[in-house]
Amino acid sequence: MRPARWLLLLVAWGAGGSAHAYPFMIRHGYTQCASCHTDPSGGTFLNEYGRAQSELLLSSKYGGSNEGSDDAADEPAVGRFLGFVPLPTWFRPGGWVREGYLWNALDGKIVDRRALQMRADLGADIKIGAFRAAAELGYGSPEGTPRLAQITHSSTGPNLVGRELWAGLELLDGDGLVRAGRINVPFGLRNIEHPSFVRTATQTDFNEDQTYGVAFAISRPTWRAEVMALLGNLSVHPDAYRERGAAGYVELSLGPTTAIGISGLAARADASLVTKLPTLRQAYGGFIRTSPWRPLVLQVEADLLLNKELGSGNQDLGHAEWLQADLEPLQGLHVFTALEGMKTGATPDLQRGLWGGLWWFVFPHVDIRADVVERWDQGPPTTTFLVQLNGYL
Amino acid sequence: MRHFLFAVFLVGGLVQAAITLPSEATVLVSIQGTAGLHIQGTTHELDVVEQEDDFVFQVPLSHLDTGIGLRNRHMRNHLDVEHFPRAELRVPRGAVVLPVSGKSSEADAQGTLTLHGVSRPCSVHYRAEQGLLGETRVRGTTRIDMRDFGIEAPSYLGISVEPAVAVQVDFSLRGL
Repeated sequence: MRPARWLLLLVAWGAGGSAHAYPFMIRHGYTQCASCHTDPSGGTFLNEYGRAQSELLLSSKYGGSNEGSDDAADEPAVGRFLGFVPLPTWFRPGGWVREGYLWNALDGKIVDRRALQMRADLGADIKIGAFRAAAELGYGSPEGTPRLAQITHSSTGPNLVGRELWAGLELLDGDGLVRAGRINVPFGLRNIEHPSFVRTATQTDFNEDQTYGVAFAISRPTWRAEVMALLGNLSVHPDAYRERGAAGYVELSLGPTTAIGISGLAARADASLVTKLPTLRQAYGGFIRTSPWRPLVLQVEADLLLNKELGSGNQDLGHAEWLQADLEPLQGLHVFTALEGMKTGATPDLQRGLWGGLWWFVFPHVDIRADVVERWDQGPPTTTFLVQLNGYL
Repeated sequence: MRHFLFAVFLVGGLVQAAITLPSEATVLVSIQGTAGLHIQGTTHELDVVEQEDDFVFQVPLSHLDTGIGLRNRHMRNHLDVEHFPRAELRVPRGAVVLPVSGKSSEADAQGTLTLHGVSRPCSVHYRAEQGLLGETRVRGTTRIDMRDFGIEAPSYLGISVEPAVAVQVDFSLRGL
């Protein structure tokens, strides 16, 4: 691997804040995200119903049977901040801490090891009648600041970070939401693995790739969709680097545990962050989520990437793919693996990756995850080991 | 001994009334809610008997499974299964066109649905297909409004479901 690419890989992992959107919840018949999440396409904030499902379906159960047959399950302690502070239904505060430790190996030799401050955010969302709003404010360490989400711009000290900030109105009896602000870009699977090729190549992760714009989302029992006018990421300076365009997806539910969707994105910037030249960036693809057997969820995404240098006629054609299997043999304990591939103009050789790991939702609002990621390019393989502890209120 | 005799008479009575126990029975209940919520409940318990020139379809509700235990419990409470343990559809035999061997028939039939202790007229669309070995494969569908049966549309933690409920019943039967 060339030094520049190696550096990019380290930066991508190092800036590894994260939130939670779990597309594997389709195993429980939840093809829609809006039932549980404030963001109708899935994301950080959970509504009361989502908090209840998190407690009932996501976390390990001790001394009882799994959720599928546990009719005697206790009522979840939702609606109470920290589990005991009662809250009004219109105000939902949240807090997130994610800490990790990472080892990077090149050709089998550890070349980098460090603690990662991945996330330390506070936020809240408000729902008063049809009015909705959500905002997050976080701390980014000097090494761990997600640069595309920073509010302050210190290159040596810590920074304030803001991933989401939006306000909007519910429409269509709550099935629709029109909103404006800093919003997750609607595209593809909203998988939590933000360094995955499909998320980095399309620049649609929800660690830092949110952008300002106006979006309309709709969630129906058999389909969902969101379109967004991209007006530029205000964390990026100067203005020439800000991309403007549109993105969106539509997903159809083929059954209670299978959904298939298509996405599109086209955005133009006067100066690409990579080449510094005027660029039109496009991505088009499809994605599938399916649970053929309740413990198993398969997720697939394949995207075509087009980058055109405006004025020069140069155009790069690339692609990115992701195939993930998530197995939950016991409630709360996940074994996962993923295969990925990517080829772009900046990385003309096919890059391949293999993911594997364990993910344990130990208690409600606490999970531990361990990943091993092996990636191959034209050089020797790189291996990343990452363990992380996540807690949220 | 008295209990044993009672059981023998009871079983004997059921055998006399029943056409036969349906096989491969699936009762699927679909409910939609806010924000695209789609809940499906399933049970494989279905009794079919012939009484007084009526086909009587009975579905025990206590094992209707929506995939989440707590939700099942809420549903049972909402349906007051303790007092009204079954849903029953009664369709006059004369309202049903049965197919001949190797053929199928499809039509609407008018019946009476009893749920939550309330009986209401109910239109059922059905398709029946007679196999060559004497087995009839049936699919019936209907839509009901739970408010017609004195059941309030449930709401839980800000998520509400619509009162309209789609029901689909599949089963195979011999002896029709």
